[in-house]
Amino acid sequence: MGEKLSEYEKERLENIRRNKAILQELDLQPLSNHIKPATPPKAKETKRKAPKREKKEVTVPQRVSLRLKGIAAAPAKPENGASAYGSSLTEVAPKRRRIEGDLTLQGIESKITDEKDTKGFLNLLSGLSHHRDLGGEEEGPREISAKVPKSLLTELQSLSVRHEWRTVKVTPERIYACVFHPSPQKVLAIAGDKLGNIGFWDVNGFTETTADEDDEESEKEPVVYAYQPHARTISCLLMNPADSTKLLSSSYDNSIRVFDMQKQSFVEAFVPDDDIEIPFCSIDTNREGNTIYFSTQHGEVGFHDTREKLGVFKSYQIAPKKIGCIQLNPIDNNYMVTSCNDKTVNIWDKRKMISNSRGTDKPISIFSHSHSYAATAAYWSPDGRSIASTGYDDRIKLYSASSEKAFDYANWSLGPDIRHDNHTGQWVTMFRATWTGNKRAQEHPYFVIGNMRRFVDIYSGVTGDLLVQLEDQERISAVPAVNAFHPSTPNITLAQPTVAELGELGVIQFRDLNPDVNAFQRAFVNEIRRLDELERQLRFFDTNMAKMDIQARPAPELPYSSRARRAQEIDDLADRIREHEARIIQMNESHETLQKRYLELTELRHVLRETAVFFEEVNNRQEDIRGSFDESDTAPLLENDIEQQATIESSQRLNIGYVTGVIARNRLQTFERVLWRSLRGNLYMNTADIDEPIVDPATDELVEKTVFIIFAHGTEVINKIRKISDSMGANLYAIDDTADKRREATLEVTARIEDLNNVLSNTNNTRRAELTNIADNSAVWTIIVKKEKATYHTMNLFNYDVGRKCLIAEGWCATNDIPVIQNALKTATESTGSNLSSILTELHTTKKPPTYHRTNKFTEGFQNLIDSYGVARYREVNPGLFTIISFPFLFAVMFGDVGHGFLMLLAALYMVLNEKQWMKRDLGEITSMFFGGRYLILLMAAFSIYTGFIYNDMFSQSLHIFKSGWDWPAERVNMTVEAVSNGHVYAIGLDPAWHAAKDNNLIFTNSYKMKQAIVLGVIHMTFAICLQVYNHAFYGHKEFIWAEFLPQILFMESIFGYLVLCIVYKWSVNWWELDADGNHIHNSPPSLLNMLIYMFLKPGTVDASEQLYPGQATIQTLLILIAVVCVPWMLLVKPYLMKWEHNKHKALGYQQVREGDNRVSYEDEDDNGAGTVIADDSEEEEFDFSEEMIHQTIHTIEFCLNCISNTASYLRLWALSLAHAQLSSVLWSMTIANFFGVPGIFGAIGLVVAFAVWINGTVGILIFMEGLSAFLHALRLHWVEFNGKFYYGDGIMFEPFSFKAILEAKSA
Amino acid sequence: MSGWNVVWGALVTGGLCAGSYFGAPRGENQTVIRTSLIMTLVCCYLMWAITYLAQLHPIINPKKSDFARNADTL
Repeated sequence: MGEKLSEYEKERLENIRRNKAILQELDLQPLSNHIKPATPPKAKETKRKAPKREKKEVTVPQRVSLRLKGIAAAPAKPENGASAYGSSLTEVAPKRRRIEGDLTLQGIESKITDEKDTKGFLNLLSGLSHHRDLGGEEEGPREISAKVPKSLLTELQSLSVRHEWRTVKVTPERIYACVFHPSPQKVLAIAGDKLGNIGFWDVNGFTETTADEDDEESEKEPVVYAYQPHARTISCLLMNPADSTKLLSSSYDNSIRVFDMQKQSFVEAFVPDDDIEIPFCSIDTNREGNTIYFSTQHGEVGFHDTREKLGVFKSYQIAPKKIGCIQLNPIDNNYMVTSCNDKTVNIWDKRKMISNSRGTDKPISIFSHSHSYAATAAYWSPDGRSIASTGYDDRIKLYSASSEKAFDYANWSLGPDIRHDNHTGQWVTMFRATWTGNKRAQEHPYFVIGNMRRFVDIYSGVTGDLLVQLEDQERISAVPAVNAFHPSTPNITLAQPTVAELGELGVIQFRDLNPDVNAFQRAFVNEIRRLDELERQLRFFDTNMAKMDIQARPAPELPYSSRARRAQEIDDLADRIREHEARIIQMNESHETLQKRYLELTELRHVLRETAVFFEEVNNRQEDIRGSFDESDTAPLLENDIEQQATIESSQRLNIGYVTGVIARNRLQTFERVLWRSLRGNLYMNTADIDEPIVDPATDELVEKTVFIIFAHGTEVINKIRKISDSMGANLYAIDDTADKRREATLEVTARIEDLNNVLSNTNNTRRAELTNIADNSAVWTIIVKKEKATYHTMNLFNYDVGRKCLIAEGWCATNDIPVIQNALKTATESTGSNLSSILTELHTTKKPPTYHRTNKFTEGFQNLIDSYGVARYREVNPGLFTIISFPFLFAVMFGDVGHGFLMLLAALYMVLNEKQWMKRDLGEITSMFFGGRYLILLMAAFSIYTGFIYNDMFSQSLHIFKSGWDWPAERVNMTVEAVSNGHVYAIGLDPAWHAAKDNNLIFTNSYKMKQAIVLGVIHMTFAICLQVYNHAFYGHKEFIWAEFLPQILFMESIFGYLVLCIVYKWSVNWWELDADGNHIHNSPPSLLNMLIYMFLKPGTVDASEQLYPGQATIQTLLILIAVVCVPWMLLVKPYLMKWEHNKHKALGYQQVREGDNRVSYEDEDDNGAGTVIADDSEEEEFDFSEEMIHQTIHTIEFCLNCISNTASYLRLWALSLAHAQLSSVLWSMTIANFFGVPGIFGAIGLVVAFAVWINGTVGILIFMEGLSAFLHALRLHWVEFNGKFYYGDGIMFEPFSFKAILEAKSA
Repeated sequence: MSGWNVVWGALVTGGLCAGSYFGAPRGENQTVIRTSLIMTLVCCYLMWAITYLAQLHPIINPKKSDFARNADTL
């Protein structure tokens, strides 16, 4: 014995030394601390402790193993080494003792993985996301459908081996146990083998929620890492349910280790003392993950609390043979099930076990059932209401709770008994029926088991029917003995934050995938309803706050960037809001009651006070009444009565009663009249007004009230009065008739009013405090709720794929934004820690995409100009780009004035420079319109300055910068003088001499501006026609370039292009040039207008006196011919071309593709991300020649006529520019100019007044009104003349789902 | 003679256009900047050239009458 120990000791020391050396080599300081230098153990002790634990365990060990106490002598005692197991351990494989100490990844022996791989493995681990939920979410038990849901069935049938590898060798030896890491990002399969290796396989590329086989095969390099932390077979692998960074592994080598993914080391979780053999067969932990339950080969079960010291455990000998399986009930951890080689499957109550542990009796199971042969496995279903056990007798047995009480095991019954070949033999790991833990299984539990015929069978956990037999004879070439399910959930938990994340981005426009589904039948109606309720509650708060005059604190800056909320947070919020609401409602109610009470008391007080007067009066009048017996008829009540003689003192005796109360003053008259009539005057009534108005709590209105007292005779009459008072809405108060009691009552009432006042103000204060509290948050809450609602509304547009239990969204987004979206998807996935990532796939579709022009603050205004005409067809040439310059330029042609432009520039600059402040402010409608176009105005102003400079206009005055081309002769009174050309040309702009030429400057500028308008217009239109080419090329109609574009441009240029050329030619010729003899070389300058008219009226002939250049007639004839040919070209070629193509297609046998609305928008499983063609609702029109012909005829006529009218339309440039210059000049000469020459004080005052008039006129008329008119004309030129030539403008606007837009729209 | 100025102007404008085509800063707004610059240059050139050409060979001379001012009728 001693020798053996020392031998063992040597080996152990050797192990420790080696490990330490490796660790030091790796310089892993913190980790190597775990291993302390081994000190020689106390050799004689039987209960020897590991040296490193010595310090901690000087106290009495708490281990109370029944076995060691000798209570239940197990056949295998480690001391004598007689057991077959023990001997095999020590003799046959002496090296395969347990590996001592904690192991780091680097220090560990590995057959597959080397140093380099370890790094990869660490990366892989860091990619896993972990969750720690202690306790876990408690969900109410769902209805378990007795029938297998169809969706589940299809889902299971769709399972297949999910990769192309022939084999993934995860571990070097036969796999004994496997488990999936619950990480959402990576599907990490972990398997333990016969020799103590643990293999990690990154099942990369898996997007499915379930993946179940391990024994598949392949060619490509799978990502596998394997380590050997155990010396013998790994019997069980388990993820710590409370902490997914921890992987528990148990082995026959006497140890349970925890692989801590953060520390990257295999830490010993539970190791019994060296002399105790605990070959662990199976382990489980409680829900909190702090107690490990195990079963052993020796028929023991035990548990170890990880918070205690390493070697401490309790165990119970419950069976004589190996207990292959132990599992705690997932719902109630106090129960556990074991399966034993002695054929039994037992349920134990942990509590009873513990109480029994001191006694000598064996623990008694509370439920027991026997297989005919050894039971290999028994597992609880996820809901803890049934057990599936597997036995060597070729049976899978199901036991389930028959009654509502799941733990009433006496009533458990044997359910379906399934025949299943479980004879695995020597070389295959034994089969175990394993339940699925994912959410779908809550609807209908099912379990999975291997099949000797290389299938994987899935059975229903309720009926025991075989649901699906997964087979893939090619890939599953071995018997899939060990199976595990990835505990994943459907993707809804992920979809919500994902959508929210995208909402923050605002770059996707989602398509409605369920257009036929009515709003109330959509998937997330309940959530929306819930949020509606929240909204209502928030509105309730708002109204209450408004009543109390409490301002809601505005939401903090950047509310849009707040992150997506989890369902849990929304639940919390809902709870909080509900609580607040309940409290406020309660406070409102109590406030109302108190108010009512207060009112009553106030009225009572008044009644008391006023009636006191009446009673006194009555007392005083006692004599009078008696005296006035026969005379007065003003007191009919008492006078005409026989009993009147009775004194007031005896009134009780005489049965004279009275009623006191309060009634609204406006009803008093009616009340009185009714009383009078119904009692025939048998009453005495007295009233007194209450001077202070009383608040009616029901309506919150101030009501003036009156106290009344009625004396009457007889109980019946009194009752009648009471009834009438009630019906008239009077409040009656009982008053005592003795003065003392009344005084007492008054005092009491006053005191109570005082109290009530206090209570009321208290209530009010609390309510105010509560509301103030709410006011702090209500704005944020509103935003959250609105966002949530928008999110669910969007999710309602999605399609739920039953087969794959995921939501499918389709939408449009800019190609450039795809990385951004992908990023958002990733963020959402990470933030939720969900099991699956969202997948973005590009689809190819024939649907018309929406148009999205990315604009910035500069281009936005220009794009708006175009979008208000029509949204561009998808990827059509966007005229907005050219509008940026052409619009301000054409505007400036009409608005050319340096001064006006400058004033406008100042205004625009002011807006641009202050844009940050202005953005935040709430501008008025008109201001915000100008503000939106600030960059447009800026450019318009800049161009106006330039054109003003060219026109040489500055507030209608001229600048004289360059050398003028004209010399004025000396002025002579009453004579017209004509300037003489000096051969110069004014370098830039109009010669100032023309400004001075009052007589004929209009003639010149008229001609100049008209020609300029034509030239600019023709160039503008030509440019527009040329843009057609891009459209034709883009839409794949290259033939339209010569069938449509070419005749159009030829037609245009042969007439108006020619006109422009003539204009330029005419300018470039010196018509007054003389030859050497002093004769005119040219004829007198011809009129271009006449030329154009006669070109058509008399083609082929040009009057000699009107000739512009030689050969003019021929060229003009040619041009006319071209123009004429262009008309039928335009008219006929395109339709016939289309017809020809159509016929060609038909001849080739192609038919119109009609896919109907079968929407195949997500691709096949094996298609990894490459798009598939959707052919949805393809609305390709049937080709109709006659229709096309009509269309083309209209188009042709339109174009030809438009060429003429549009050219004429550009003359507005001329007209407006002239008008502007003239108006400006008139304003100047009528105001300021009049006072320039006036001397003296009168002149000065006049000038100031004139200046005021002038500046107002300039800004009001010339800049605002003229500017507006020029703006509108420029707009028209762009919309009609420019866009009409090439722009379809029939696209759909891209409206991305954006929280920002939603919130702004709702707040507006 | 001085009509060539228009041609020179066109050449200069063409050069500037080429310059702005290649000189436009890269980035998402490159097209916008490029188009805007070129169109600005072209528009301004056109405006100037038209005005210049219109005055190159004047058909009429500017006239003014003094009496108009003296008589104060206009």
